[in-house]
Amino acid sequence: MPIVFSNVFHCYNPKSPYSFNALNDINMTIDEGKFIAIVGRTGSGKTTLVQHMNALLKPTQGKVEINGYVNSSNKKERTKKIGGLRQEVGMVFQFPEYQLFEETVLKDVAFGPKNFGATKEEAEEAAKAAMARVGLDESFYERSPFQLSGGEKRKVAIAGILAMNPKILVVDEPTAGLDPQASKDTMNLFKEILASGTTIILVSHDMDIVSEYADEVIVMENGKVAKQCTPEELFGVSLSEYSLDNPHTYKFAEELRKKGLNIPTTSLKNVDELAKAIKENIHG
Amino acid sequence: MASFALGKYIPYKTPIHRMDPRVKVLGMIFLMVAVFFSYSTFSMTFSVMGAIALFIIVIMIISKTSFLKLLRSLKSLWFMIIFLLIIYVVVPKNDVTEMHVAFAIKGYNFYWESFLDAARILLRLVLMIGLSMVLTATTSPLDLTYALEWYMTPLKVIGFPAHIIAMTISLALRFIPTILEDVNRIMKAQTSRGVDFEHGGFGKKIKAIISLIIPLFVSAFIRSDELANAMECRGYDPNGKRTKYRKMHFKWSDALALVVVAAILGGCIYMKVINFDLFNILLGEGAVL
Amino acid sequence: MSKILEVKNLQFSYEKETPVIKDVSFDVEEGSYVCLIGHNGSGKSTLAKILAGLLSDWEGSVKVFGLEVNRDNIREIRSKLGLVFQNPDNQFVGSTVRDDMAFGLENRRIPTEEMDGIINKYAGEAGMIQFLDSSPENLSGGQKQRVAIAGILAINPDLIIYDEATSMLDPSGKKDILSLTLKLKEENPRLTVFSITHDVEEAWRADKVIVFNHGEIVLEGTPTEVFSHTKELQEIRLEAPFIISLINALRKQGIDIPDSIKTEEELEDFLCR
Repeated sequence: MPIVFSNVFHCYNPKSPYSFNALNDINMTIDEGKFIAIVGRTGSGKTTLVQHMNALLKPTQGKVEINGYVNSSNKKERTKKIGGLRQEVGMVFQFPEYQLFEETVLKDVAFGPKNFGATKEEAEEAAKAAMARVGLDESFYERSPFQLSGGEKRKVAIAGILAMNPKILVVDEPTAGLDPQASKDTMNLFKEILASGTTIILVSHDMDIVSEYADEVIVMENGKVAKQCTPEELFGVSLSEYSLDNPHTYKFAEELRKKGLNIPTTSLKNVDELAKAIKENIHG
Repeated sequence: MASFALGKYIPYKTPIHRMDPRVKVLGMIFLMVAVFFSYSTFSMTFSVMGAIALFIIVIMIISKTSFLKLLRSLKSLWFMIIFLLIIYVVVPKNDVTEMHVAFAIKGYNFYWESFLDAARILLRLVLMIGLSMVLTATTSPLDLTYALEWYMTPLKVIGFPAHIIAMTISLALRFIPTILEDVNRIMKAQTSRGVDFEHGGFGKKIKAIISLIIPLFVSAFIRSDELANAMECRGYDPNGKRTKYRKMHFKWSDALALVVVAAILGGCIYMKVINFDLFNILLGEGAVL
Repeated sequence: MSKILEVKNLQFSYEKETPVIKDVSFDVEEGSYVCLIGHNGSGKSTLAKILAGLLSDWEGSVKVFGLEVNRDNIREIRSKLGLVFQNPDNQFVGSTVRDDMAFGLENRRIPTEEMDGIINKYAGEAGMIQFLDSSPENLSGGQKQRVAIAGILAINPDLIIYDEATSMLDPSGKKDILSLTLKLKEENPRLTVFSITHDVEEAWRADKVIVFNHGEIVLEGTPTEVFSHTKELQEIRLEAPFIISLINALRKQGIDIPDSIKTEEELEDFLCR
């Protein structure tokens, strides 16, 4: 189920001195089943862009089409019960642990499915399955979400979105505040979710993560899509024009190139790929 | 929330902005009291109020306070204003000796005096809103807090913690935008989980509000706990002596402003007390306008 | 060199049964940059709170500037100690950068006339001079942490403690704070920085690294020493800095990298020789 943006504009506080064009004529298609990263400096429109995907925001002009739903500025064109879109496009906000509120973990995870019309039993079944996916066992069902550690709370929050069985999962800086190991676990979880057929859309500042996990990168700049390409294409060149940093592996390869060792700009997802690329070129 | 223009500080650099906040607070109270006087005749009352209105308009121009915003804040009060006017026009007056019938509908008399009365109330309301707008638009909330703290200082003698209250208010002011951001974020997160904050029956509304309030409180408690730790580490002792970064300076211009405003209030009180009627003197005894 | 921090046989538990810190001892020398690394929940932040006198009822001895941390000494200790906490928002007290920096000075009873000079000087040092009148909602997380650091510099500290000061920042914010810290250390060699972190890239730049796991010290030494214990680190699932991971990956590919190589530049030169 691709996501299609057609001529989408979004303006905050229109017709006022504080009016601000966060999105300027976005036209793009995001294919299904891919791991997509959206990058760009703070204020480039990343968050505004993704909030159009589950109709938290309405375009001021243009439309977004997702699986038969139309989020349009035009009232006639706009799907009447657009709220249903939110079940298909799950959204994990930054620091999602701050959305927990129920007495028990199980109830909290089941909250989403229940809101979308599941019976109590169905919702709990979905919640249990989602908790298993993020690695929370039965012992967590009846615990209070507020007594968990930071990493566990985040897992609960992510499970709360997965329990709705979304076809597209949008995650905003999912590793912020986590230690490196928990970050890795979280990213690997998204990789597993991707393998089960869910599209993952990641908003992140962390280029090391983007290069390691993403199939495709969308670069936002001043409310426009500046680039939509593979990580290799993007990181092969300098990103300073977008105020972004290249991933560590690409930067290191660039330094080697400057010093005369010609490392091709192929995929350098992690240190192992970089080491391989160095090995192939050092003696050949 | 955005239409509520009252109370928004706009950081221009006008003489009014530079005034001592203590003088501004006192001056506003003086002028508000002055606006509230009525005199023996309507002509007298409207003349004095007109003069004060002119004075306030000058202040608004100097301080670059927007008249448009004044109108807009009146617009948000339109229901109250209309209600007030109807009450005044319909309910007969007893305290005015001479009543002049303006027109009659089905035998019910409407008097000119009632309309004048209503106009007087409306004018007062406009002037009061204008005055508070000048104060809040030209004085940062923090300065306002300092001014209030200064006025509360004498109460320290009886153990009233003026400095702690001032610190609490300034922290609240500091955290309002942060908490509003929290509200926004949590609402969006819960909306993404299928909560509908706008529609739905009573039960659903309650659930929706709970899903907002609890995370909001949890985050506010965490914030206040961490803030208390940070403040303690930075050497804050609520009962200890502290120096002040922002000192209020009472300048000659402040004294002058205070004298002018006090004179206006004094003049009004004097005119009220002696039943002064300018038109009576000018036009001779018994002239009726 | 004198000892800025001395922790001996420290034990602490929030509830009687489960100790958060078990018999920990370490020292921090004056003028050094020491990183304490470990996972979230390993007891790191509790340690920071103990050092700043925010907790009581621990066992063992904790000395800061040679003074035992207790009720009588805490005022004197805090006059020369600054803490930067994890959440940039929750330590920003003033409504502008200027007012926030002044808050610490007011608490320390600095005369009003001297404040502007001090604020300008240290806001400049922390690179925040052009933001003096900005309010916190218009600053990035990294900028807010710079303000926190500027506020600490303004009291002329002997010791700065970071309690996961960069964990909520994006990578550029992290880098930014690290380079500011290194700059400050260079300008004032007497300044001691004790950083509680899980950023191994930061730890790699420190003078000494202490690895904390489940309330215990597992490894301690220079970054090179500590990060050469690849196996032990893997056991507690701590990552190595980029350079170490790369060297390990290259060795796995059969490229022999001498142990003497410590920086990325040296590695580049070695590979391109």
